[in-house]
Amino acid sequence: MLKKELKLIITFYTSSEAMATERVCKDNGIKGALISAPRNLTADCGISYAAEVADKEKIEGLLKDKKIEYEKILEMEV
Amino acid sequence: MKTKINPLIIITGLVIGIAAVVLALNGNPKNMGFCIACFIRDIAGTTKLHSAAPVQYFRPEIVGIVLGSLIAALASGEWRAKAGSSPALRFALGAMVMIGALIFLGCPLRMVIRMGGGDLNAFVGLIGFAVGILIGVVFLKKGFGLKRNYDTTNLDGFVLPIVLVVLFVAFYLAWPVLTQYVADVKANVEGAKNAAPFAISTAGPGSMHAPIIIALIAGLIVGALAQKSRMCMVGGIRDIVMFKNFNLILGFVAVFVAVLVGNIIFGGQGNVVKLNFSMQSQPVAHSDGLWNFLGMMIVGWGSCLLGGCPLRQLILTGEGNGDSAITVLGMLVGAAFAHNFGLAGGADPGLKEGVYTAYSFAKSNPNVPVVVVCIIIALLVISITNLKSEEK
Repeated sequence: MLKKELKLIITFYTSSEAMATERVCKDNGIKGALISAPRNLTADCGISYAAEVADKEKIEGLLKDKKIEYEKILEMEV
Repeated sequence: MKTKINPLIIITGLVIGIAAVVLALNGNPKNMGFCIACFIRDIAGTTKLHSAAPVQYFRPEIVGIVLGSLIAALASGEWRAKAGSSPALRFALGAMVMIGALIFLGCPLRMVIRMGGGDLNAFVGLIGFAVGILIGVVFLKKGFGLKRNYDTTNLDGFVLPIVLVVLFVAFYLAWPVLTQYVADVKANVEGAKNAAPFAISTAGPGSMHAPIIIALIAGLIVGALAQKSRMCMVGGIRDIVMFKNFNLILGFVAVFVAVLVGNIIFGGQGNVVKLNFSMQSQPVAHSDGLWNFLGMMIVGWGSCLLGGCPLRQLILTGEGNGDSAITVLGMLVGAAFAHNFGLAGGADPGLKEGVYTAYSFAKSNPNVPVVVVCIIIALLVISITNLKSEEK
């Protein structure tokens, strides 16, 4: 069994917003990856973005600046 | 990120595979214990949306899957009425996916079930399916997305499940009349007439079915498990390519293993096939590689754009998703179009006087090449025009 880690998880209504988030984060040197949405979260597009919890404020700011719509942003063990 | 395996996806796959074998054992057509496309096509037939006599029956499995998902979602608080995500495009994509599936003769689920019976044509279909998903993934990575959905009234989320239940109850009430008609036709009774409002097959795949209660229970179990596990035949391949996540594909593999073992144990009993690794003489299948490939390529590409395979669309419909309900209605109309316009493939006639005869699309479906090209162009246009504007 893989050890669970606390991550920042962002879910989206559409996959294009998820892709845009990955690109924006990458461009700004934020470490993270697209993942299949965890079972206990309902992501409409089935895709979510996982990043380090420490980057929460930075990511929220970027999403706001770039007008990227997301469904939820939360910390959880994945 | 490493894959975390959810055992429920494996259990779901195994249960679906076992249910497919049990249903074939109890009367469903060979290698068709479960097939979302075929069963929706049969419902289109019995409700007289098309008039292809061999494929008309109200499949309880479809009603069971939607209700199973609905009950599971309500019980766990996951039911939510939402809609508004590019409904017309979803309707069209649903219709195109169905046409592709009926050219191949099966949805992704039946493709795996056919593979478990040794049907090598289904492996050709799998290649087409994977290629279609890969094309879809290219557009997803470039920023493809249908518009977002919004919360809607609860009734909106219940509409299709209610319609399915009402129609199913009506069909069940007409069942004595329908069975009498089938019996009369089989006994060559002169002037046999179907007085019921539903059409019913007296021969062909539509005439082969498990008892209603067994089919309904199988659908309910599969629907509930698939809702919990997010089983999706398209998601499996998509997640491997996009996230190196092997969780969903394990459901796909589990269906294959369960059907393979079931066929080895029960082959020859009821309508369970004897394992036969061959392209020829496969039940309700043709051996035309080009159309097997292209049919499933359309299914893979279209389903990837929709965000889920036909089974997943039924599950989401049960969860209150009005967009998936529209997609299912698109599949229903697509099935009717496929038969009304001569697009659905047919089974190989097989051995006749020692010579194997393959099904001929050129003779039976002269419109298929034009329609397939039109669908591929339509998928391309939908894929390109729905890229997020800054990424075009």
